[in-house]
Amino acid sequence: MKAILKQAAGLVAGIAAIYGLLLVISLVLFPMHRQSGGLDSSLAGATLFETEPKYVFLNRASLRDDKERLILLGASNVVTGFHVSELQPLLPDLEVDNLGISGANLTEMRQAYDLIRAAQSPSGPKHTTYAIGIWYGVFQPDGLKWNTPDRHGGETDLDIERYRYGFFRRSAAGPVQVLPTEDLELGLVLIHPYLTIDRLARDATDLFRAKFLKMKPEKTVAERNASVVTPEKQAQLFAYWHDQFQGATAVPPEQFAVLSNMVTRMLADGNRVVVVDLPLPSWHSQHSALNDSYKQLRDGWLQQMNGKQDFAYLDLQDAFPDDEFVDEVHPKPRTTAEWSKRLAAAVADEIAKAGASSAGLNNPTGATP
Amino acid sequence: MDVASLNFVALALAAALIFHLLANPVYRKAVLTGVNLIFIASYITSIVQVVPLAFFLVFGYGMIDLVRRRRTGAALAVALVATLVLYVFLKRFSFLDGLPTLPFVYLVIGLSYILFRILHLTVDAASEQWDRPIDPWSFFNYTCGFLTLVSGPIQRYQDFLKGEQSIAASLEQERAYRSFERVIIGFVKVSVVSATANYLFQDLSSHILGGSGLSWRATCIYYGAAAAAYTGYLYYNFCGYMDIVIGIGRLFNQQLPENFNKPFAARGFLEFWNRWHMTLSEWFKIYLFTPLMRVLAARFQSPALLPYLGVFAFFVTFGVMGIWHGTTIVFVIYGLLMGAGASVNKLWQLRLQGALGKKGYQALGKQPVYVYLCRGLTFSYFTMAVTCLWVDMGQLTHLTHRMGAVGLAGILVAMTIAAALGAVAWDIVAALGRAIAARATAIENALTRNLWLASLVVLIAIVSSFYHKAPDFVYRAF
Repeated sequence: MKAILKQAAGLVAGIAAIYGLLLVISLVLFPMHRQSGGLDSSLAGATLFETEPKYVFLNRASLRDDKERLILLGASNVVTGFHVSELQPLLPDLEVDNLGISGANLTEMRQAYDLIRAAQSPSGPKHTTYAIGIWYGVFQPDGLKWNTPDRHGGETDLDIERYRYGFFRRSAAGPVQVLPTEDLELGLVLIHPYLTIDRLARDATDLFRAKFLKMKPEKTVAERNASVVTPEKQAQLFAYWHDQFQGATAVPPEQFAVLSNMVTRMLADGNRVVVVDLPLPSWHSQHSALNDSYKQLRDGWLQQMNGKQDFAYLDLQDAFPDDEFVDEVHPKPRTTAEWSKRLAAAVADEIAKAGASSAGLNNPTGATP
Repeated sequence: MDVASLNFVALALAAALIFHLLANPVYRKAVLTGVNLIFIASYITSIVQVVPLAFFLVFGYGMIDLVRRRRTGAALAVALVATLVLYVFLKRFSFLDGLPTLPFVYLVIGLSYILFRILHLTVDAASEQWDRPIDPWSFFNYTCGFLTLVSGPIQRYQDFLKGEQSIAASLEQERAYRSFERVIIGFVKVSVVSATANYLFQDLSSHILGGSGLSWRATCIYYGAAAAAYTGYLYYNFCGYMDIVIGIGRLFNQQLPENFNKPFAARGFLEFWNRWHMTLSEWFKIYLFTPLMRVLAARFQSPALLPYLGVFAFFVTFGVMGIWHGTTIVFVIYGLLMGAGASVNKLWQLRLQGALGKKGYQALGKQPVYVYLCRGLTFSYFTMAVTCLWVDMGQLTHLTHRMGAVGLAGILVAMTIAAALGAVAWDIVAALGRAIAARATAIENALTRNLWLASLVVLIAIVSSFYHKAPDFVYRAF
């Protein structure tokens, strides 16, 4: 028994020494600093957090204060369509945080809300407006979305980040929190060596890929602004979404239930909510059976939300011409400023109404400011 | 409970501490029984799920004792057939769909390895080795040991008993260190090397299994790369697991047998199976190949035929060994490929020795180019044969059809050359590693040893965080 305990003690001491050294080195190489200004998940790749889900999960400590804020949730078209740098000047009285996650569906957006809510103070929701970007793509059912071989079945990208560093652990009843949310910053310090080594490893493999595998460089802003979506490309994109829904021509209603549940909880918690029907090019919106079925479900849901206080709906689906898109959903760089203007106007309008009276908002069935 | 998990390590460490609290052999045997039961319980949610396993154990024990008392060929045949029938019924082979099954979910983990142990005891009971009934308590600890239940190694009962006799020995510091070292190296193999190989395999195989419309050439290249990545994943996953259980076994004074001995240094398929999953090969050699050879030799009494009877016996033995791996038709193909590999290797040996003579054959076996090409071919054949472990029948048919005979032959040749060159590089690196390790002994002390182990633990923790999911233990499915 003594031999085992002695060996275990020696090992633990060695681990503490080595990890302590790595911690010091990592803090010197990449010093920690509190983020000033709003969070922007589109910048994740340039930070130690690297990916949007990790950025969203680990950066929540800065949401704890009671600043008036606008938080954006959605998928890649929210990430790339609404730049914090463009939106912030239009809403000077709010802190704008874009916490979109590319590839998200409504389940993951709801998880993001739950995690954000856990990080906020009890009065935080009263100072928060959510803008939730939707289109039919984010209603992909969980069974189709989250069952790839590289993950435990059903786990979203946010779930993976929960478990990655032991902040949560898996159980039969779902995620069990190990590190209290209020200790998130301490947790960030403790995992700093992991983040540093992951970042250095990724930079090294990127260098290898660029040098030896001759990966195509990303398109420049000018190239993206000049791009045209050819009919062949359109066909490929339709085929892609056809596969994503496994050939279904109707959007299953399960994710609408998730949206409804999330918005109801947001409102009950005291938040303001603006649901934004995101822009699509007409060749996509007008020729997609999935979009048609989505609009039917959406309209039914909006009727239920009619008259709800602190809730607004902004329909931008057909608000932009086709040549303002690089593909089936994402805007060209020259267009994002206009996206931000439209959203900022709707948010400002809603906040003004909420401030002026307790009677409610615009007609939630499609009024565009 | 996954063996390559922190929970298992924590359980094993706690059990080891309790084990060494007292030196009494009965006490220590009871601790082992307790941890065996806890391990089995970790797989079930209700007691009903373990009833078939318990029945299999009791039935097996009964058959062993029947043979021990009767010691006739008929009793042995009845016992073996009855045990195998019960096993096949419980294991639910898919090509026996339509047969009645039990109407509830039950535990099948470990059933294959329990079968090996029961069959070995049944055969040995007939050869007058057991004058007394086997101690039921020892029988339970032997068949259901928490370290060997899921995937071996397959230890003979005689060796297990020797271990029981030294159960009360004390644990010295050096053995404790070597145990920890072995376990940690096992985790490096599982959580770092096999996890990385699995990540590569998943990425590469997605290109050929997802119907992506690749060209013929691209399909062949991706298949070759995926298959090689899978072999790396399989090897480091399984041998890492063995390191973990063997290392932990030493904390309990158990000398579990080794299961791997540098298999990719093998110069032929038969030699490969003397180095890969050695306890399984040894079991099949003793309990299938040798008795089969005896029967064949008695039936066909021609000395000239004997080597060719060996070819046939190898085909049957490896065929059965391959089929044992799974319950679907693709594993039958795997078995046939294993059998073909073994018998072709044996035929090659016979023909070459006949053509070159014994001295010429031995001289050829020392030629580096020949040796490395043989190693490359052995690796390639095995790698292509284990494709059956990662595809279903539909995917296998599609891939074979897509690549065709030319593609498959081309991959075999290309992979043989690549693996031969890889073996050269590996041997150079291994020699350098040995030289460095020899010099490092000069500075070896308790501090440097613990820093070495600690650095491996930190490496495991950090690399594990790169991947979304730890790799499954491949051999748990067999």
